[in-house]
Parts: sequence; C-alpha cells; structure tokens
Amino acid sequence: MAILDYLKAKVADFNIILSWIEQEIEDLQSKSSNHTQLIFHLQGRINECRRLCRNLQVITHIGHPMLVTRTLPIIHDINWWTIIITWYYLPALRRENNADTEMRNILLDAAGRSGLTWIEDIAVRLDGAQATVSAITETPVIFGPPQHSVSLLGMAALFHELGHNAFRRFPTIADDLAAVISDYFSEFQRQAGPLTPEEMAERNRTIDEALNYWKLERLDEVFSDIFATFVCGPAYYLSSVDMALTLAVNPFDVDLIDVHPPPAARVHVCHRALASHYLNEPLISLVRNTWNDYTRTVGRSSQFELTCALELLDRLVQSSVQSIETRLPEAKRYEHPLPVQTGLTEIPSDATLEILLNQGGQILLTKPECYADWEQEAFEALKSSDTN
Amino acid sequence: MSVLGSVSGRLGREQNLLRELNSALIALEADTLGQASDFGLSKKDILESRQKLLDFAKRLRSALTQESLSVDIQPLVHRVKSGMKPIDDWKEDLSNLVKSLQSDRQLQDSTIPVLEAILSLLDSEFTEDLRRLYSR
Repeated sequence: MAILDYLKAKVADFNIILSWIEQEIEDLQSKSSNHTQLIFHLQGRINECRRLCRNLQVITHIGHPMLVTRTLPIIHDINWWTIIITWYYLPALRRENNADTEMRNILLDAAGRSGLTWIEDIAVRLDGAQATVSAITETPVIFGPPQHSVSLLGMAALFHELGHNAFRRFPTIADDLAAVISDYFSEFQRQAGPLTPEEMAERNRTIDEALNYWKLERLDEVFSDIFATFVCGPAYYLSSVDMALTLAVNPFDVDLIDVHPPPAARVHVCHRALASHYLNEPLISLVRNTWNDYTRTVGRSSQFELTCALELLDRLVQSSVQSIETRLPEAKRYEHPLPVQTGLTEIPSDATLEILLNQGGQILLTKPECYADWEQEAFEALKSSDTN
Repeated sequence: MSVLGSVSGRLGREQNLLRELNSALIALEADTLGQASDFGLSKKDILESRQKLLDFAKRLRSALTQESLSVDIQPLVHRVKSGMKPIDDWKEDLSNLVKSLQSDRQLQDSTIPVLEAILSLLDSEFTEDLRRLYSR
C-alpha cells in the first residue's frame, strides 16, 4: 500500500515539527517566568500529539487497511494543534513586549471580575484586530490593535473576546441557545393561518432557512455580545452602536456567509442585556436615539424580520443571561452608576477597566474636548492599579 | 470583527468529538484484530470506547428523528440529510449499530462501514472548517 509510505513520511514530518515546538517552548520557558501555566498546557498538547504520532506509527507497522482508514483524522488532529500552537501561541510569546504584558495583566483582572475563574494566563498580541483563540480555555490568546497600549478607545470589544472563551468553556450554553431557536421557530410554524398547500410549503421553507441561519458560530457571536454587555455595561452597548455605524453596511442585512449576526440584531441584544436601571439614563437614550435615527433611514427586509425577530432576540438574551448567572456565578454584572456631570473627569479610586470604559464613553459623548487629557490620566491609573 | 473566536471555537469542539470517536473506533478495531496491546489499550479502555461509540450512535439516531437538539452534531445531521443515502437507511443502520455495540461481541463487518462513514463525515466537516481558519 502506497499510503503506508506516505504515513511513514508524515510521522517523520510531525516528529520534526513537534521537536522544534518543544525546543521553542523550552527556550521560552527559560526566558520568562510569567507563563508557567500556559507553557504547562502547551506541553500537555504536544504530549498528546506525540501520543497520536505513536498511534500512527503502530498503525503503519500493523498495516491493516481497516486501521489505515483511521489515520487521516489523526493527521488532521495533529495538524490542528500545530496550527494553533505555531500560528497563535508561539508568535504571541516570542514577540511579547511591555505593552503586551501590561494588557495581559489588565485582561487577567477583567477576566476574574467577569467570572472566567478558570483562566490561568493569557497570551496577548497587540498587533491586529480584536480576536481570540480559546483552543486552550485556561490560557487563551487575545489579539488587539497596537493602540491599546496607550488608549482605551475600542477596548470594550475585548470583553466580547472573553465571551467567546466562556462559550467555548461551557458547550451547554450553545445547546440552550439552540433550544431557544428551535422552540421559537416551532411555535412560529404552528401559528400559520389558513394557507394553500403551496403557501404553506413556501412558509415552511423560509422558516427552515431562518432556523438554519442560527449556526453555532452565530450563537457564539450573539452570546459574546450579551456577555460583554453583562460584564462591561453601557460601554459595550455604545461600542456595538459605534461598530454598526462605522461598518456602514445595511444593519438589517442577513449575510449568510458572515458568522456575525446583522449589526441591528447585535445592537438590539446589547441594549436588552443592559441592567434595567440604565435604560432611562440620558447617555443610553442618546445612544439609542442616534441608532434609531440612523435605522429609520434604512429599509429592513422580511428576511431580517423573520430570522432576527425581536421576540427571538429577547429570548436569546434571557437564556444567555441565565447561562451567565448559573454557569459563571462569579461574573459581576456591570451595574455601577454612570458618572454625573459634576466631576465627570475625575478618576475614581476604585477604577477598573470597565468603570473607566464607561466613564470614557460618557466623556466622549458629552465633553469630547476633555477626552484626550482624561484618557492619558485614566490609562496611567489603570496600569498603576494593575501593578499594585 | 474577526471570525477567529467563533470559528476556532467551533473547530475546537469538532476536533474534540472527532478525536474521541476516532480513538474509540481504533480501540475497537484493534481489539477485533487482536492488536489492542500494541496501542497500550486495556480491557477497560475497550469497554469505555464501546460505550462512547454507543452513546454517540444513540445521539445521532435521536437527532435524525428530531428528538435531540445537541449543537455538536447539527452539522453532521445536515451532512447526513443532504447526502445520497436515504435517511431511513441511516436510521436502520444506526439501530443495527446500537444493537451490535450493546452486545459483548466484537465489531462485525456490517457495522464497521457505518462507523467509518460517520467518522468520514465528521472529518470532512472539520477539515472544511479548518480551511476557513486559513483566511481569518
């Protein structure tokens, strides 16, 4: 069997890559004492890959066609882990500079307040768009743009990345949300009035499309928005509106390729996830009115009305909040009073990242001329509170 | 707005499931061939592997009859339903597989192709999603 020669080559290939990774990890370990836990988890994954490699060797030695069929999934498994480690973890650890380390410490604190108690370490890379890889939930990689080393602007989105980690940690969150989607569309299907068979078939087809739209990744995105609003409060709601306006796409467009739900749906869930006492706050009204003024000028499709029905989105918020409260009991809902105009730019003594992001949003929208000076002071306070 | 968080999350779940089932099938196949010790597998490992495959076969059968909503196997259900093989044939094959796995006998020639087909669909889903990660 020619495949056996290929398998032998693949084992040799993997052994070289895995040895190189082991050496890299060893070098990093000798250079940094900050990432003991992260390195421990990486070594664990490499040991697993070594075990899989040995299985490949045994199968090649036995050579039975039935077992040989099982080798491609093993190869894909090892390939996945080499991608995760060599594309994301090693580059993050290799390039880590002071700004990355400062952000790591700020995020570790934020993760703790957000109830992500299993997070032991974070590798931060301030060299790209906000994103995360939570293949190892205890030690995720979090990306952010380089300006996060000096500015709070846009930083609320990092709480969305923490949300992905929680979603990955508890697979049943997805099951609960999928049940919400399924129940909603089943109820909707039963509400059909008198229709001809053709009309009924067409109705059922569009309902199936809407049901199938809500794949795992979209549930992950919507949960992460709700989570971010839950723990970061109005600052994340403001950031969701800002992002939707900045993207300049039709916010009601149901894009079947994009894993993110339509911006209008995301803004809606963020608003609904706010603690109720914020709803009458002038800041929230200002943001909401800005959004409503914009969306009044944009047409919404019947596809949006069905796929992202407000009642469905509200149920997703309810289920997500319930999941956060039951599965992440240490997650603190952001309920801090918004700063009043008197003393608006004073840095509070208990300033956390979330408090400063909310204060910053208020300053930006009401006294933008004061923001730059305030931010400089706020950022220093944040870094010094982290080092204390 | 990166897709990395949700796409890598989905891939992680798929990889976990694929590894678990693939390892379980290797264990049973190795046992059938009398080669379990070559993989360092004990009798307990074989029994646990059989149970894992049995649980999964039951879950998939429920999902095909719309009794189960587990998100993990939704893409697999979609692939099964959109494939050439009639859904009723799948259900019958899965019922036979469940019976076979519930018995103490070693894997039979008729049940192995069903497990291989399931693993092949899961592996296709995983590798297709992995390609999406290349273009984050």
